[in-house]
Amino acid sequence: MFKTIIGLEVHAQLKTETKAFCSCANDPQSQPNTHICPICTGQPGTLPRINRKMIELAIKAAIALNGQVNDHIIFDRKNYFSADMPKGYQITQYQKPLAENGWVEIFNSARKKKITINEIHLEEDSARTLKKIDTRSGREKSYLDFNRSGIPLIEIVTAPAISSPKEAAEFFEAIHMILVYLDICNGHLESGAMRTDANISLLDSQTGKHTGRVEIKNLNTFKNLERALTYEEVFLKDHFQDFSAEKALTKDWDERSRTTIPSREKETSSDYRYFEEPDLPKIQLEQAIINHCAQQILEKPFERLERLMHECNLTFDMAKSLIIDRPFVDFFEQTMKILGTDEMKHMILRDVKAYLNHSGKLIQQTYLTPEKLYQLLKFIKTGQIAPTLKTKLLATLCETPKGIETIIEEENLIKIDDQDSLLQILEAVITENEEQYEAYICGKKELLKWFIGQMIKRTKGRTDPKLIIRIIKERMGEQNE
Amino acid sequence: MEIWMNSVEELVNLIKTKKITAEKLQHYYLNRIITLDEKVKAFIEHTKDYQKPKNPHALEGIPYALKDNILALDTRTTAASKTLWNYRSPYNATVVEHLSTSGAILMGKTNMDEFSMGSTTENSAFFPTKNPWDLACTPGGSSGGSAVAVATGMVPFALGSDTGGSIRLPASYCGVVGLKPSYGLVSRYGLIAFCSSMDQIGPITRSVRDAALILNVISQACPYDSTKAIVHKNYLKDIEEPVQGFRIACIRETIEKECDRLIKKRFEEAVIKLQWLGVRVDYVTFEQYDQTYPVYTVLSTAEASSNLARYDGLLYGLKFKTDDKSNQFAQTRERGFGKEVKKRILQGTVNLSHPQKKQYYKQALAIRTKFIEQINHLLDTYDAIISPVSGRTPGKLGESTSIHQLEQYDVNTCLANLTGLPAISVPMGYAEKTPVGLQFMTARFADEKLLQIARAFEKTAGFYEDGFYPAPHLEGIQDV
Repeated sequence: MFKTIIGLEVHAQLKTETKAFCSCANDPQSQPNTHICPICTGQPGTLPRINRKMIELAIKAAIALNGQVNDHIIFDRKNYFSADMPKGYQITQYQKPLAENGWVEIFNSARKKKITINEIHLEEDSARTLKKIDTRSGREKSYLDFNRSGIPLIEIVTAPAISSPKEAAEFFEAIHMILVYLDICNGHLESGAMRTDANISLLDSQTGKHTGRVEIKNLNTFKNLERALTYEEVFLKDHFQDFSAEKALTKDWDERSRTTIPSREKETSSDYRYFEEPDLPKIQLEQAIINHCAQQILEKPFERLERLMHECNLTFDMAKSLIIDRPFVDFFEQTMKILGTDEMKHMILRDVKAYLNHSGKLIQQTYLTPEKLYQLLKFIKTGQIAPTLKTKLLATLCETPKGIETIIEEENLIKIDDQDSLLQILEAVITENEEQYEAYICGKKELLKWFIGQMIKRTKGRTDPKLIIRIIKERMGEQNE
Repeated sequence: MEIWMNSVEELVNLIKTKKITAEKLQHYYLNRIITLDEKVKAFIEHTKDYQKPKNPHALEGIPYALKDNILALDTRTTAASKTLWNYRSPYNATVVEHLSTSGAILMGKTNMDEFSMGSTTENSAFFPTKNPWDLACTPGGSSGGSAVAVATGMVPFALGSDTGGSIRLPASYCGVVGLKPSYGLVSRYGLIAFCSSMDQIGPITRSVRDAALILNVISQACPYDSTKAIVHKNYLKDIEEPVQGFRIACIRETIEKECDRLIKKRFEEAVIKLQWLGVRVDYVTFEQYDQTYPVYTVLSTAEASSNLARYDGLLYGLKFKTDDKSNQFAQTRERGFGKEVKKRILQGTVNLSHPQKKQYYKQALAIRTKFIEQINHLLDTYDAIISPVSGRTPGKLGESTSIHQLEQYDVNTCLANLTGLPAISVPMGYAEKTPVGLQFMTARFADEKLLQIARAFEKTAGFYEDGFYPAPHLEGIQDV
């Protein structure tokens, strides 16, 4: 029996305004090399200075991941050469991490499991390397974008306590949810705001024999993490005998072939010559700062997810889809407090969500409030407006600051349910369209739809379609079934 | 009296009372630089035209020179290394910002040992600087260019940097005042790092009062250096206060071991002068004193190996182009750095690598901590500690220096850097042709007390001629 042993090192960019050690904007997605300065490009004579917001966000993350925050912060230099590291060293935390001994409960519809986190520490990101084919020479050239250089990161290091590729993906996803929910990381996986290195080895539980360890670098989606580890698990099983415990490999995931390939980095054991960063003072962490960070958390995302499942009778997947968008879940809960019915729940989860998906907006970018949504439902329920107007009205409510009553009044949307008025409108349609009328009464029954359409158009949707059908049929001398 | 013999304070007065215009003063110094620098080679680069003072403040129109490891916008900053031969400063060091705001005029960038690694200014990648008192001798280093520029009156003051004695040693050998402020008193932002935990910028001046005056300006706030302490003091305020009743310690090892006969004599005379002032001088021992230089070497090279990692030619500086890209960085560094720099980078790399790290770097850190405890303890009882700046006289130019001789240059000075204390070199007479300095150290951030004691000594030292420091016997120095 083989036992799979996996450990992860998750890197997450912190959502600060500015970089870790200078005042450049933390905006890695803008035009290359537009947010750079002497400090983050490692010019001679420059010195780092600590971004307080970075410390706060990292402490918040440590608390959310149940870590014990150490009472002081010390930075160290990790010395190694890399073209994307302009100082020739990375400022990180080595001798004393920000926090230790944390855990995260991974959790799916079936079960829960606690994964131990050994440490959480702060460090700076490197510049981004872009590879492009030079159009003139046809050769591949490397370019460096220093917008990413010096962006604050936290590294979350797990114990080798993950027992399957799927579990690893679930852990990564759980961390993602927590950091995004708590506004610590923007979570943009595609741009590398969160990425993970994965270590995997196998243990033969009968003989106690280990394989060597394979490290897969820089995986930035849940799926690829699972795929890469699954691929590697098979590789290790196949090479159980010859890839012995003292061996180690570094690999990269190749998206195209969906295989891992040995990394171009040399396989020498590195000596990073760590020493305490002399340019930064040791920072004492007052309990007040830690408390301040803890107070911003109140309820962790998984706690809220469980609560929502029970209180609002949601499935795991529904609750999860809500949780990953915090302003939306806040909106959901506030609205459900006003009117916690199934109709309201469906209106938010279907209609509001559909509007957001369609418009590409976030809930906080609309004018929609829980109160306005409640009014909309009330107007429909009491029959003051036709259900056909729901989508249109919802869009208007989202796009203007106006209240529902104003919109109804301005656009004259009060439901028309008096039959005489409707009949008058129908007579007008008939008079103007004698051809269609004659065709219809001669038996071209498919024109019914055309007449309904004309009626809805002329009433601006303010009627119940069922009523229109009845009136048309009566006027045409047909029996209502 | 020649204009150049004036202190900064006196020059400020001359301008204030309109006895001389800022423009005239600048032309005067520019002329001196043009005439004298070819003899002593203190400058790597200097201005050629008049610059209008930006701000009419404390130092309006006062010319100064800057060691070439301090960045001043649009000047070339080379650290006297080939690797930065073409590097143009993209920003101002904080000290330059403060001086410029005060109205001081940057005249040029001075020669130094490459990346401050050396005690003779001979390790400059460009040329050596000569001692104006004896052109066959080195001026000491690494801030040799700055000390010579002040000693010859090419500028009224200059800034240097001090990691193990680099301000105090050349000041001592050139007969001027050199102050290394407390670690953290002056911003290091814009100083090319050698050993970050010991580097400190300081003034080289013609008088102790000038050192205090310049310190007032350069110790102002800096948002870019997190190791800078927030201290607001006027270092001139109590500088003339008497020192009667003060207690001063002399670490016995500094004069007993291999101290030049004449230097020892000057030192003993200085002690007597201090006693005249009502100061009590005691001789004390300092445990593990023989470890100061080895500890300094281990720690400074370790930090240097990291601080100098960035000079790979990728973003700036010398870039050696080769088809073999993988070799480009190594080739750039091979060609960009001089021998001493390479030696120290290698030494520092070894000191930080396993398994030597435990034996060297960590042990050195532990001893450094003990030194700090021991010296603080000593300074609980004593107001200051004195010693000769160095136990040896300046070497001859071109003379090869052994490791042992290098140690003799820095052994007395590096203790202040290891422990963060302020230290100053004040002229105390001559050994043969060249001057030698007396070093004072006080508790960290007691810089005002340091200046007060140094000022009291300066007044009675007898190194003055008619109230002024004597001029070096340099041809033409008087008539420019």
